[in-house]
This record gives sequence, structure tokens and C-alpha cells, in this order.
Amino acid sequence: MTIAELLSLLGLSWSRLFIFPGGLFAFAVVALAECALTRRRDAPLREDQNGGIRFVAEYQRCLAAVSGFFRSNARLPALLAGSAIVPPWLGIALLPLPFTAPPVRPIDIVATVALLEWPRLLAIAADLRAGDQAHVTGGTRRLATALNSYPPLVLSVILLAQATGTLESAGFLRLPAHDAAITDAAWFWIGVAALALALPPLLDAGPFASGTSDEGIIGIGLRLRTLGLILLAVIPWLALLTRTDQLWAAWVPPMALAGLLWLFHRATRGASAIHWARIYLAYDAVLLLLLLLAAILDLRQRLV
Amino acid sequence: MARLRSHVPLIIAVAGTLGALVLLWLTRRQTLAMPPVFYFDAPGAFFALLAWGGSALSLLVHKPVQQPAWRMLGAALFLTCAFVTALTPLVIAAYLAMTLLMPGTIGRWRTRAALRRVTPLVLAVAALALGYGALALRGALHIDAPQAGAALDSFVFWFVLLAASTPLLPLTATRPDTAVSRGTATHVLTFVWLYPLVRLYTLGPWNEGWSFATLVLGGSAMVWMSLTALTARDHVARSGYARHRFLAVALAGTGLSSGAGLAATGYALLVYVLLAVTDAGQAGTDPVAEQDDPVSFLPSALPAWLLSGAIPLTAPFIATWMLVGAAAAGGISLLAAATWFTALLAALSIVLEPPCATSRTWWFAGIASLALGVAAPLVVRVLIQPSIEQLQGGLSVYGDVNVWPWVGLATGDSARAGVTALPTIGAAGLMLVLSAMVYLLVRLLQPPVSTGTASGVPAREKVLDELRRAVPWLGGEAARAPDHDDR
Repeated sequence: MTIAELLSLLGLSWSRLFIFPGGLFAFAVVALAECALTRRRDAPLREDQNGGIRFVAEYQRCLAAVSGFFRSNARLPALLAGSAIVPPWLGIALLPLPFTAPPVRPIDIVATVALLEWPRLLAIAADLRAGDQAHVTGGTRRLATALNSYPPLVLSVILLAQATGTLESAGFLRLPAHDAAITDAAWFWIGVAALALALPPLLDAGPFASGTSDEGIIGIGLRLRTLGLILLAVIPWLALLTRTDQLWAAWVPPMALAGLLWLFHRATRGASAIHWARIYLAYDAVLLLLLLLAAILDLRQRLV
Repeated sequence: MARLRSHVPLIIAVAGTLGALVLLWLTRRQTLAMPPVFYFDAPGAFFALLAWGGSALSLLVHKPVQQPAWRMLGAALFLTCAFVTALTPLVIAAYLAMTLLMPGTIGRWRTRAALRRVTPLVLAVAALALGYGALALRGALHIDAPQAGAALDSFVFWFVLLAASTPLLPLTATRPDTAVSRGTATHVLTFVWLYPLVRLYTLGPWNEGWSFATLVLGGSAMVWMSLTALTARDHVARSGYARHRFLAVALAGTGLSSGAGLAATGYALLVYVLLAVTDAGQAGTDPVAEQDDPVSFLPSALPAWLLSGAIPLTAPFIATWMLVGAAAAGGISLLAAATWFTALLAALSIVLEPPCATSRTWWFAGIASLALGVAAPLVVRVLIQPSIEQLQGGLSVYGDVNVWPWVGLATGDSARAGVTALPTIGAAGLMLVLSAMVYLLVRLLQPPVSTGTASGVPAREKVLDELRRAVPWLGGEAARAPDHDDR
């Protein structure tokens, strides 16, 4: 173990950091999502405009949205701006996605989630410290949603770890073998499904929406976080699809999950947050019982 | 001359710290037994280093006149006797002497607050006397005696566990006045009560029931303290619970009976000492109003954030992360879940914290937290690994810590397969590269920052009331939350 290992880690990570999955890929997805969301929010183009004018207007609107998104920054000074972006950027860059360079050293889910959660903490703190009541209310909602989202996140990931035997993020790629015990396969797929179901409160979607807009650097950080958590949740599905050498299929799980989340968001946007929090509490209890059962079965297996 | 005299306690404490470091270096490969009294080994040297280091730092951040410096030095000296002796009765005597030296133990039994403060310590000494006394009577007068392991039974264990856990739980920290008035020595040296429990691994392996009890006690204390730290309305009580959470982490790590668990224990004790010194340095400081500029909350609060565990790669985060890995490697999934959950709660609770007057102590502690976190592989390798190796005879194979000296840390299970991994130094290097890039981009793209007015952190009580309504498991009222439901 010499310093050469550290240097090789830094040197071999450049494509992960700057091209895929971090860097260009992540920021392109964030910019596209921002462009699409801005288009939905703004008034529709006039019907009497011809095709060329419509195209130019659309292009200008997207450009303005993306440019404004990256430039507007009313909350954090330049020195601290990086703190909202860098941890989720690094979190995404270190995800074990298909077609990425193999990591020199692995990283686990606990650390990845901590990196991805940083902009959320900043957003809550910034909202609570803003001058107006709307932001304080939004910050309190965000805080409550974070508290409601952590139990399902933790329980689903630990359930997955119970099946794979590891918390390393690469463990998400280890699908149960055909001859694996039925319980291991069950815990794995239950964990995968549970993680997907934990996403709405994690991403402040639907009834858990804070009601405040995320602008500036913190907004970019939050969108990177959203991308990172969706990618994290679909890693097992990616492993399943890429096993069949259908490379195009790698796009399907994240797009499908993002679409489902968007549908959930649209359908439940006005619903009562406390009502859904209680539903998630019941869900937590079920997950806890499943984890307990998995632990007991594992202990029995060890003692035999 | 008078000035030099006022610094004598600090000089002694620094000398003690250096002496403990030298002892740790000398005992890193093997124990040095000097029968019949002395028994120098790495676990004892590590605890001595923490005791003297905590005392030195404590004296450094305090004015000597405010601090019962000689009592603290006396306590550290008695504890060092306990850490380097093989005689079990001497351990009891040293802990008794240390307890008597604590402020308020003698002569202040009249008030209820004083009684509440002293009772756990007296109870702990009594339990330790029973546990270690039974050890001595059953043939383990010397812990390094060939047949000493046979003396370790459930009677001994339960009393030693009681002695270890009673002072660790902040039963008296709910009252802000007591937390401040207990004195720095009590705060900084509270961790030493874990030593008698850890020392039992020298005698032999624990049975599953003992490990299970320690895990349940440590795990539930950890969850309780995290929840209380989040919902407590008083600043001193909050910081007390947040600090004591690391003692619970250490207790749970000890109960895992594995190398990874003991690594988590050692690291959590380091974090505890750092937080205790910082809190003691900050005792009595009132929260201050924030600056008018709403963008400046992070710089002024940065030391508090660095000490909260919210930022990955800082020492409090690494301490809980190590326990998550150790628990997962040992197959204790529920403990892993509970530990991770408490880490997330600790990260959230800092957003509600009003900024305190940022002193040099806070900045020092914040930077130390970051340095300890990034350099965790080196810290574990140099300070903690020798203790694990020398207690290996009493440990199980369910979880081991792997140190990648120039990259990071990892935890492996009994099959040596990776369970958790965190390249702390590597991630810090990558973050540095990304930060430089983002900084340049923001400087190029960003227009002048518009500033507005800020109202500071809203009343914590109000936010907590809202949280109790909106988060069912926080145990709030069933009333409707206007801000959450009326949409």
C-alpha cells in the first residue's frame, strides 16, 4: 500500500468524474430536466407562430432556462457554491453503473447517501434561515419529509444488504444466482422494490413537495441528488438488463422509474402530507418486521 | 514566574500525553509485563492517551483559574494507574479515587441536583468493585494470570457492564445547569468507564448473551440519545445527548466482539473526547444572532457542521459509519440500520441549531474533526489497530477492519469479503479536484450575489411542534398540521 495507489485512484477516476456518470452526463440530464420543467411551467407558445419561429422561440426559452439556472444564485456566495454541488457530483460519479470504468477502490451506500444528502441539508438550512415565512414553512416541510423518508431508505438498503452480504454499492449489481436460496432472492427483490417505494419522500415528490422553488446552486445540487438517488435505486434493474447484452435497455429502468415518480407526483400533489406520512409509517413497520425475519432466518442458518 | 506556574498543569498534561504516545508506540507489537503490578499494553496506552490528551486539550481551551486543573490531572494520574496495572483491586481503587476527585462528589450531597449528579458515579464504582472484586476473589487477581479467564462469568460481566453503562447514559444532562456545572473533568473523562468492560477481552471471549445485552444497551441508548438530541429544546442538553451518543456507539461497538467493532469503539471515543473538549470550551456561551447577510450562515456555522456528522469525511460521520460496517459484518442488521438512522438524524438536527459565538476552540475542533475523518485510516492504523491485535484472543472473526493507508478504510466479514468501504483520503482528493473546478466555473458564470435580509433560525420550539405533527413516529399530537395538511 503506497501513495501510488492514491494517485492511481485519482488518475483513473477522471472519466467517472467528468464524462459518465458524473460530469457531462449528469449535468446534461439536469439541464434537460430543467429545460423540460421550465417549458411546462411557462405559458405555451402562441398558435399563430410558424414552425421556424416556434423552433427559435423554444430554443431561446430552453437556453434562457438553462443559462438562468446555472447563473442565478441568490443564496450562497461563490466560495461556498461548490459545497452544494461537489458531494452529489462525487456521489453520482462513484456509482457502479454499467459501462463505467471499474473503480480502484469501492465505496458503500452509506457514504454515497451521505454525499447525495448534502444539498438537501443545505436547502433545509437555507429555507429555515430565509427571511420570509413561505421559505420557513417550506424548510419545515422539507425537514419533516426528510425525517419521514429515512426509515424506509435505511430499512430497504439494509434488507438488500442482508441478501447480498455487503453494503458496498457494487453489491447492488450482485443479482441472486439461480441456485441461491429462495430467501436470499426474496430479500433481494423485496429490498429493490422497497428502495423504489422509498423514493417519493426521499425526492420530496407528490404530497411531500416542499412548495418552495429550488433555484441557484442549491437547486443544481438538489437535482443532482435526485438523479443520483434514482440511479442508485435502478442499479439492480440495470444489472438484470445488461446481463442479456441488450445495451439499449440500460436506459429503460431509470426512465421508467423517473416516469413513475413523475406520475405519482402529479397524481398526489395536493394530498395530505400527514396522511401519506402515516402510510409510510405503516410501511416502515412492515419493512422492520421483514428485516427482523431476515435476521432471525440468517441467525438460524449460522447456528445450524 | 507566576505565569509559568499557572501553566504548570498544562505542561504536565502535555507531558502525560507524550508519555502515553510513547507507551502506545512501545506496546504496538507486544505487551510489556512487569510483574506483579505493571502490565503495559496497547489498549491501556490508548485509554491513557485519550485521558491525558483530553485533559491537555481541556486545559488548553480553558483559563486555568476557571478550571479545577489539579483535580483533572489527579484523575488522569489515577486512571493511568488503572490502565497500566495488572492488579484488579488496583483498578477499583484507582476508579474510586478518580470518582472522589470529581467536583461535587464530596461534601455537596444536600441538594437534589448534586445527588443526581453523584449517584451514577457512586453506583458505577460500587458495581465495578463488585465485578472486579469477584474477579480478584475467583483467581484473576492479575488479569494476565494464566487461569484468569476462568474467573470471567456472568456475575462479573453484568456488574462490569453496569459500571460501564451507568455513567455513559446522560441521566443528569437533561438539566442545563447540571451539565455545565458538572465540570469539564467529568465530561471529558466520562469515557474511561468503558475501559473495565473492554479489558474483559484480555481475559477471554464473551458469550453470546453478554454481547447481545451490550448491543441492545448500546443500540437503544444510541437511538434514544439521537431522538432526544433532535427534539430537546435546551442547547446544553442537546449537545450533551449528541456527545453521549458516541459513548453509546462505543458501547455497541464493544458488544460486537469483533475487530471492526473495537475499531468503531476506539474511534467513537476519540470523537467523544473532541466533542467534550469543544462543548466544555463553549459552556456558558449563548447562541448569537446571525449576521444580516442570509448567505453567510454556512461560514459562521461551519465548525458546528463539521462536528455534527452531517458532512461526510468528518470524524463524527466516520465513527457511526464504522459501527454500521461492523454491525453489518457481524450480521447484526438491526444494529446497522439503527446506527445509520441515528447518523442521518444527527445530520438533520444541525439544521435547527442556532449558531453560537464561533470561537477559536470551535474552529480548532472543526478542523480537527475534518482532519481526523480524512486521515481515519492512519488514525485507526496507528492508534487503534494495536489494541485490536492485542485483544484478538477475546474477539470473534465476525468483522474486521481493513486499512488502506493511503486511500481509506473498509470492513470485511468473516469470509474477508468487503462489507463497507470508504476511501476517505481518495474521496477527499477527488472532492478537492471537483471543488476547484466548480469554484472556477462559479466565479466565471456568477453575477454579483444579491443579498437580502435574514431573520435567523426560526424559533426551534415552533419548528419542533410542526415536526411533531408532521412526523408520526416523533410521537407528537394527533392534531392537524396547518402547514402540512391544508393544501
